[in-house]
Amino acid sequence: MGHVVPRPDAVAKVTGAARFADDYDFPGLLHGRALRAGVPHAILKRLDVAKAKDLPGVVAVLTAEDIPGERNHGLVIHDWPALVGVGEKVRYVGDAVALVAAERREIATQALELIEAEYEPLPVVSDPVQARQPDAPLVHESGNLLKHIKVRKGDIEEGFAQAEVILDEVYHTPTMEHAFMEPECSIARLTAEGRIEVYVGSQIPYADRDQIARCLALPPEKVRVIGTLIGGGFGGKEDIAGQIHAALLAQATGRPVKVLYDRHESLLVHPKRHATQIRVRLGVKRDGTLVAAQTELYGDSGAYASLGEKVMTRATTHSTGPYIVPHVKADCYAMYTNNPPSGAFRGFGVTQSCFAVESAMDQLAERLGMDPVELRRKNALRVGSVTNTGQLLTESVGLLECIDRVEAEMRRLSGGRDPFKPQVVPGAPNRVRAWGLAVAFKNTGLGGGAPDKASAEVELFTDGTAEVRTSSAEIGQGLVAVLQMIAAEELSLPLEKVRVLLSDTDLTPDGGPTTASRQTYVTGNAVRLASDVVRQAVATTLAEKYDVPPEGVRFVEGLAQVNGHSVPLGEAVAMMKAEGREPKATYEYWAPKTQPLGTGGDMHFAYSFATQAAEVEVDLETGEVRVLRVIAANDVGRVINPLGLQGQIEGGVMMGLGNALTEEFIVEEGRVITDRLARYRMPSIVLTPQIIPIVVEHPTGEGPYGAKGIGEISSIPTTPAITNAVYHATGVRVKRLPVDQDWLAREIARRERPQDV
Amino acid sequence: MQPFEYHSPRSLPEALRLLQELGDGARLIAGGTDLLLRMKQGQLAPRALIDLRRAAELHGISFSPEEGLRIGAAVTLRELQRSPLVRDHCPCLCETASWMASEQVRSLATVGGNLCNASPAADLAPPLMVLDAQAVLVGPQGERRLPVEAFFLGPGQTALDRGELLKEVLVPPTPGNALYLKHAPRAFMDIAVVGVAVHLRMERGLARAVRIALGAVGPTPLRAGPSEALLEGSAPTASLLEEAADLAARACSPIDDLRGSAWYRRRMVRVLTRRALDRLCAASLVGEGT
Repeated sequence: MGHVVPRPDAVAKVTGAARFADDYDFPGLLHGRALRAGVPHAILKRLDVAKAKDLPGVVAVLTAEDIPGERNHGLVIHDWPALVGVGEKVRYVGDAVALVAAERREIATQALELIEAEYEPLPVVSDPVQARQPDAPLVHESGNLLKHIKVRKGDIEEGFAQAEVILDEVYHTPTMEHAFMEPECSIARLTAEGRIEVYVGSQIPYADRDQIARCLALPPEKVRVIGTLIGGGFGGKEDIAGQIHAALLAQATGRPVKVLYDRHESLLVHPKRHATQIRVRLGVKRDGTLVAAQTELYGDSGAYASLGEKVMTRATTHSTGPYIVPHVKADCYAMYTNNPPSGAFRGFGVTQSCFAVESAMDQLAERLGMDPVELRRKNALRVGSVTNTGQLLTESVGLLECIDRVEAEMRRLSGGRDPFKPQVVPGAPNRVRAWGLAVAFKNTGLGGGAPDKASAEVELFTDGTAEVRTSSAEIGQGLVAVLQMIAAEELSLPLEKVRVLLSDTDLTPDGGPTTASRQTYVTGNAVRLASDVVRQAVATTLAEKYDVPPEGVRFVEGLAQVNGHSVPLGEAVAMMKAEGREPKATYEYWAPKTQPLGTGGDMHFAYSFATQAAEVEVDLETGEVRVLRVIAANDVGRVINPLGLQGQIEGGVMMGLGNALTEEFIVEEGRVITDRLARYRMPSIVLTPQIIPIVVEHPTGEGPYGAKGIGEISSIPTTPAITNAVYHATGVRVKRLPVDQDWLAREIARRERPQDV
Repeated sequence: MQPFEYHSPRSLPEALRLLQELGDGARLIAGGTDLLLRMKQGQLAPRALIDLRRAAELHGISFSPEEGLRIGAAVTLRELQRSPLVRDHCPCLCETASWMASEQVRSLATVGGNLCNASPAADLAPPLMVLDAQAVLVGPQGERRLPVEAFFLGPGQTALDRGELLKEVLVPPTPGNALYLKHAPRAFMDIAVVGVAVHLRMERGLARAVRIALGAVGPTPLRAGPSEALLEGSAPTASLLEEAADLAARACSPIDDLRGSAWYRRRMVRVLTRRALDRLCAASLVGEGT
């Protein structure tokens, strides 16, 4: 524990030996493709698939009528049709209207072109503010409001009455694409026993299984989801992509069917990060004490619910920052529109609201003439604070230490100069540098009253090895290494003696969704406790054999030591088996109970905290922003794998940098402009700053060894740290992401020579 | 993508014969990094593709003191970037290539493709224009030479006649220095928002052979004539360079699009022209003393 461990899947991934879904092949494999509507809002008037069916090489063409079970799928609300039927509504360009299975992918593509579909266009709802207008066209018959989310604490009127300074600002964040390396791929096939197997890289295998079963009108146990390696997820592989389509085609043809998205289809279809409009109103005393915080959020949930309600709930509860505020009122409108659906994306809504509130805090500090770090320190949550949802924090609040350590490092690197004052680069009068800082918090686990549990199975073998099984997903975050280390620690085995099997609904118990930075905590605990049960069973067997109390059995490096004897673990396992005892255990771990929003109490069982400072260099003539250095402190409770942690921090910072400076998924009137990767500007290696990680460990009592989540928090404060730095360097306040060079150059020019702009 | 015939001629004459025979339904392909994308997106559906990569006449980079550099149209950007000959005689072209696309794309994309695609933002156009390069066109009637700047007629339009193809580019020996500055959102991987190339040499404190070309700010890459005239034969001072940069910004006709506003493009022309002039004058003045 706490030692640097290379990830077990690293070599295979680097050498190309790793097998992703698209690498699997089966005899007789067909290629399935979906015809996408290509119109954002319309009634499907007519659909003629006859010509496609007649094309040689086409084995099946399916339309909505061919779906044997439920038409709709969805993780929370079943509002997303697997296929839109004639007379039904298309709600975004990525809606599927027909499926083709053919001998070759080219034939399937050709068949799609032969399908005749006629649409009656409907007026388009293109943003969440428009969606809430009383005269807005309806995306769903039930209305455009997916959810009105409210946070209430104290008396907001009273709070602003006490305020001596009030800041009121509005911020905008764009739709964002995960841009995982591996586009979606599912392969479905019928087994000899008449079951359906689906091979897919999924963040929630059991949810896939249930959704496939419902659409195919099968009991869930007739469906097996086999997780393949996943080339990145970031939240983008929680919803159904091609799983149901592949299964429908396999069921209809009796042959294995692969549904592989090309990048175009991937960009068009899968849920994105919510675009938001966030108004932040902060009331403060002259000394910097926050007394009131009011926020109003609009979230673009797109055509279908996906996890929109949950994402925007997280955005809302985190919208007043990790601060002590006695009077809070937050309202969020998660709206349906005719844009591609929005769903889970690393940060889960908090990325957006953190940008808003951390920009506002910097603006407030300036208004007060106060140091922005001091303002944050003064109001920061600490043990004993009550959050805006009424949760008393009793432990594991490392925010102040994060702030202190980042500030110290930033001041050290600034060499005594004020880090927030622009410094002209010597010899380059058009380039200025400055630092910016932001803080963040993010829940670990589902929270809000949702039962949060994970099951894991641990089995020992007579060769002295162990296998850990759970359905949780390795999406690149390093879960395999973490579970391996936990099992090795508990069983006192060398690491290489522990194998980890993930994501198979037949072979692995349900670890729950890989989301909400929860796997190390929840499944980590399940593995820890299952390992403990197995270890005790071994101890009991040996204790009986050597006639000592079970406590007298010690485990060291693959050996059980008892009564002066050293018994290799494999031998002990053989003894157990000889006595008819199973050397394995399944543990269903339930994380501490949480309370729904609005009821007070513990909305989450743990929070991670972070502070980041970014140093930027701005070219005043061109508007180019380069991030030079980022100091990132994260309170992760307890480090399990330092190398994995470093990867999460570096990747998180780069994702935050892209969010700040380059990335934007552009949709105009429901039509996707960013329809290929070349148009989605991710920062490359040349834009990578020096990243200085600082690990803060304030353990949480229930976490495994004190650990809590890192997956999301590492990315959240980066964006406002950068945009705050841009302000300090140029005097231009960024209220809309990403920072557009054109816009920034214009704003800088406007300040210098207003007549030229 | 629609089905198409694929031809892979082994020589230039064979390629020309095929082009003649197949007529308008045929398209020439080399790296295919632009063409295939447009075919996959359904914007183009040629009946036949004539792949030029096996025609030896279109390959190779050579140098002679009289003619200068000869760069075959099928030379890839990667070959251009790494060519010792180009590095010795025209380092500006190596540097330009290094700012284009990505390593993978540079391994496929060709010099001829970049020019014949005739994008106003083609990165190789401005530097070749200020280097006084000639395009060698070959067709049924034989060879003809055109200054590279006369090769571009409009977006996607070149001076190639029916049945003609671009064989090579000739870059005359130059005693001056050239520089290409490109602005793109991520520095590379992206298409230029603005590209500025400048050539000049300093003779006894005076700027000579001043040539300035601008990319992505008009229907074709274009020369900034007034700026060139202002500087030609002058002793460059800071204010004169500033004025030349201003003139360049006024000489272009940029548009608003997804990549940048007209205002920004004009501003970037001024900034990049000024920076290129500063660097070249500084470099040349240093060179003068030796």
